[in-house]
Amino acid sequence: MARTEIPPGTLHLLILKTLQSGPQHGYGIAQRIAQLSSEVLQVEEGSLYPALQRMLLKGWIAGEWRVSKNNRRARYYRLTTAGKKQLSLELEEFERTVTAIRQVIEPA
Amino acid sequence: MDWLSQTFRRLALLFHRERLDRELREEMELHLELKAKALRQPARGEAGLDEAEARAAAHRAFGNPLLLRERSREIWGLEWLASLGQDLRYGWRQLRRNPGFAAAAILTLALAIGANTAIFSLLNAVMLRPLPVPQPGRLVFFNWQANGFLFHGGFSSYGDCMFRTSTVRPVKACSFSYPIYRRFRRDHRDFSGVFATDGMQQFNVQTGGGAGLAWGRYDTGEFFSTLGLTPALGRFFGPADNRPGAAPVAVLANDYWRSRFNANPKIIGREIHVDAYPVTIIGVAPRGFHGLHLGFDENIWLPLADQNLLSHITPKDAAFQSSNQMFGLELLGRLRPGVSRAQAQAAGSVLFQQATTTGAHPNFKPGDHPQLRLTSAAHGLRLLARQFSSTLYLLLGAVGLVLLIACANIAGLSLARASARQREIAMRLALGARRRRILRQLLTESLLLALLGAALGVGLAYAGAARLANFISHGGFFALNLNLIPDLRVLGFTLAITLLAAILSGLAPAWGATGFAIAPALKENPEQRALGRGWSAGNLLVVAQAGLAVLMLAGAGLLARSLLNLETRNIGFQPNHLLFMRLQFPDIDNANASMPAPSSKNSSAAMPAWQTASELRRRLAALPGMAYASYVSYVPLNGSLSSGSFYLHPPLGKHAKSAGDAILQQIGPKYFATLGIPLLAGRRFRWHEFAPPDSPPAQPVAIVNQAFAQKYLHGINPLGARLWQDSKHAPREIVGVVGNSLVSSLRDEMQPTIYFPEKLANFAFAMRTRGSATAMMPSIRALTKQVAPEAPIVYLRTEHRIIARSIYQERLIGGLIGLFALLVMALAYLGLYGLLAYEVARRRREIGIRMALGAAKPHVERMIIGRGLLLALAGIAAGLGAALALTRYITSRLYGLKPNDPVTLAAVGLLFLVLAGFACWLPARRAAGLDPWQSLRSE
Repeated sequence: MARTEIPPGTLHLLILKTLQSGPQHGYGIAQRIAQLSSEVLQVEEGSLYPALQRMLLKGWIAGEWRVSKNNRRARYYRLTTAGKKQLSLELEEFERTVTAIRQVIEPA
Repeated sequence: MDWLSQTFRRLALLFHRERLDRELREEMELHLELKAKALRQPARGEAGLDEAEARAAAHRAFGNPLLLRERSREIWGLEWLASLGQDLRYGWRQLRRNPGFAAAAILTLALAIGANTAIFSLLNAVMLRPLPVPQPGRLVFFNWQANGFLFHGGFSSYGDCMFRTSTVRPVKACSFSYPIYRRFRRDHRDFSGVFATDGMQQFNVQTGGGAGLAWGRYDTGEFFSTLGLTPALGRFFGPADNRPGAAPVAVLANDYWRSRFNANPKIIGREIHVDAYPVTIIGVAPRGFHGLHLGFDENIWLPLADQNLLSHITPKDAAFQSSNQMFGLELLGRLRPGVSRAQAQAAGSVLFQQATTTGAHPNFKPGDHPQLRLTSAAHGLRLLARQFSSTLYLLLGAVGLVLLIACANIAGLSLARASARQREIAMRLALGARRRRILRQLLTESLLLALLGAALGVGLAYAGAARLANFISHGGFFALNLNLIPDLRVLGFTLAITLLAAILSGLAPAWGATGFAIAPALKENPEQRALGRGWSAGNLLVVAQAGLAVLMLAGAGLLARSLLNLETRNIGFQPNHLLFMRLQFPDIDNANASMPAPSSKNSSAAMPAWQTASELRRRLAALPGMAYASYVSYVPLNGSLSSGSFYLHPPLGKHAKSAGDAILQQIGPKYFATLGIPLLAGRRFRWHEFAPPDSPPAQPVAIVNQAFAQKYLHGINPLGARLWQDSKHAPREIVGVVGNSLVSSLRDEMQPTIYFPEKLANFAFAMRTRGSATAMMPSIRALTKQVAPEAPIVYLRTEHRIIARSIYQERLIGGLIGLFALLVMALAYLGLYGLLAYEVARRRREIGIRMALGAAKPHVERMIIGRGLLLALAGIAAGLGAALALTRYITSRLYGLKPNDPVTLAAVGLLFLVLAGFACWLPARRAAGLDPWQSLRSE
């Protein structure tokens, strides 16, 4: 199955959406994005980390080191209040864009 | 708010830089491990990978962890910081490796940045510093303009604004009458204070300790309160002290109080004599306040009403002085909080219009539309700024040019170095360094150079600016006190030009060094490779340097020749062994009367000032070593003159009565002998013709110069012709004709001049010595102190010194620009030499082959010299072209030649060509001296 590079600018949205269901570490985020999109969307896994750092800087997410299920130390990211606000903002924006594109390609 | 919290997070992380890296590393390691683990497990029918394969696949999917960590750090802005330190260390090592280049570059930049900073410090001190008063930005200076001529009975201006009453409309000035001041004081709503001030003047201040001079001014009572000052001692004068009949008082400047009165705290209430009038000291101004001019110290301030007492103004004259017919006051005000300048100006225009267009003798015709214009007085009055700004801007332009040339020079040298470093750079690019990173590395190196240069340059600037200020102060007409301590503006300026220098000198080489294909650079020997782009950039830089240097040289040449023309022009008298001395008699306004003023009991001389002056002249002439002594109203070439109109009645009656204008000089006995002005016809003045002021001679006479005879008497014998100034004076008979001589300025034409014999005290003494004029000065001073102890010497100078002072701005500019021209010539020489030397080194193999193939040494020499001269010629052409376009901006500073003077420009071009020839010669010799075998084998 061909894998699609994620559209530019949506990585933040995907990460925020993934974290909405609970704290997750970096690998987990990558996995979930792949799973939830039925393996269609492929995050270039490494680029996740600079993105996470940027979101830390913006204050949308917070990181916390915890011991994982299989006894490994891992940094879990969770949404902050600002992050939740950002998620709804970006979702809205995304919806608008998609609706607009749809109107163009599927004229009613 | 958002950026604030972000900055806070950034800063917090700054202290945990290592932790960030460690954590990222751990996180990524975990990611790779989990990924590899997942890949090992079979899924969806595909077999799991083995351990090594899985790890490799995980890595492939992940990307370069090193790069990703770097990008993560960059997000926090840390990479920048870390790499800056790295770049600086690396740059430092590079400079240490080439100490010769580094030293030359740092020195060049130090000179250029230092020169720029020095000139800017002066500019700052004269024009940009704020007055040391609270909220100087609220202070405004009053100007007016109107579409018609001002009707007045008297007008004074003090150089603080452009004063235009000619035919050009609108007419503009900044002098006001007393009624206008009164109107503003009473009716204004937009100002928290308005005051009027008279021009700056020199007072004779006598205390128990003797007589001395002090600069000061008369101001109305709102002076100190409007400025917002509080006294350091005592009180300031207020409106009550400015009423007629109020006791005369004075406020001293803090520095003056310290130097003249030893900071005596009991000074308040003490009586001193100002212009021989008793005045009580009531206060001392705060430290740091030096009056209304930046860079010029005022010593004493008096209420305007005191002027009538001190200057013995008669009630009738005083009434005229305070009428709307006398425009001689400057007005300043402080805007009320919340009022804009435009608002105050609009409301003020209404007041001004009412004050000048109504009443019995209005100043403007109806419809002339007189208007008030308020300008910022945050930097004080503009006299000095107006006097020096164009000179300082010209010098700033010149040092800016020096900076450009210095940058081009360093860029050229770095370019040669950078191409030698291309292999190193190519290696780093191949190892994955990003181009931007290398560009930054190279720019950091030039920034390091610039910063080191600036550090050295600021030191040079401080010393240089102090010397310049000293020259201006002692060379010119004013003793200046310029505040040269660097402030934020100066530091900001220096930082800005340092960064500019770093970018200009580093960008071209950095670009040239990184903008090439990596593979060929790695494969080839740099000596062997033709640097397509680097080469042309190098050529361009050399041409630019040459062009700018020629432009500078052209300007310097024109200014130097003008200076020479001025210094060698015929002035009409003999300046050698000639001295002038001016005294300030205490009661100068009354000095022309035969009796001392009743109030000046303090005056030690029992006789009137004119008698003291006559006595002093007689005894000066009798000093051993003195040839002649005389006096004159206007010292030749001291920058001032008096002219007036007269009526002429020729003896032949051909032209009945004609009026003309001439310079009027009042002189004492032996004046023409003292100056060495030849008598061409007739006779000199006789002793009895020098009359005291109150007893005019029975038969008044005058002597005119040749220009007068030529212009007004058209070949008629001037002897016996009669002239008079007005109906009040008896006609004077012309008894002699003397040679032309200059009166005011070296730039003047020889003008018609009339000499009158007089006996007055406010003259300057003229003296001709037999031997050295300077050696006579002590005995002249001693005699003056003995004969006229009440009159301090304003100056005693040789005429050569007076002439030098009259053209000190020309000398300052000529000297500095000459110095800069030498500097940029040296830089341009080094630039051309460096480029050619580098090219010879680079083309060694090619030259070796040519010589092996039979090229003769002269041919090789010609090749190199031809190349260099071609560049030089291109530079000369560009520079002369620029000179033709730009030198017209210095037309007003030239004398005796045009801005595109072909001789100067040709000489400059030729001079540069010769210089370029020398620069080419050495590398050419080296090229011709190459041993072909050796240069081929060395590959």
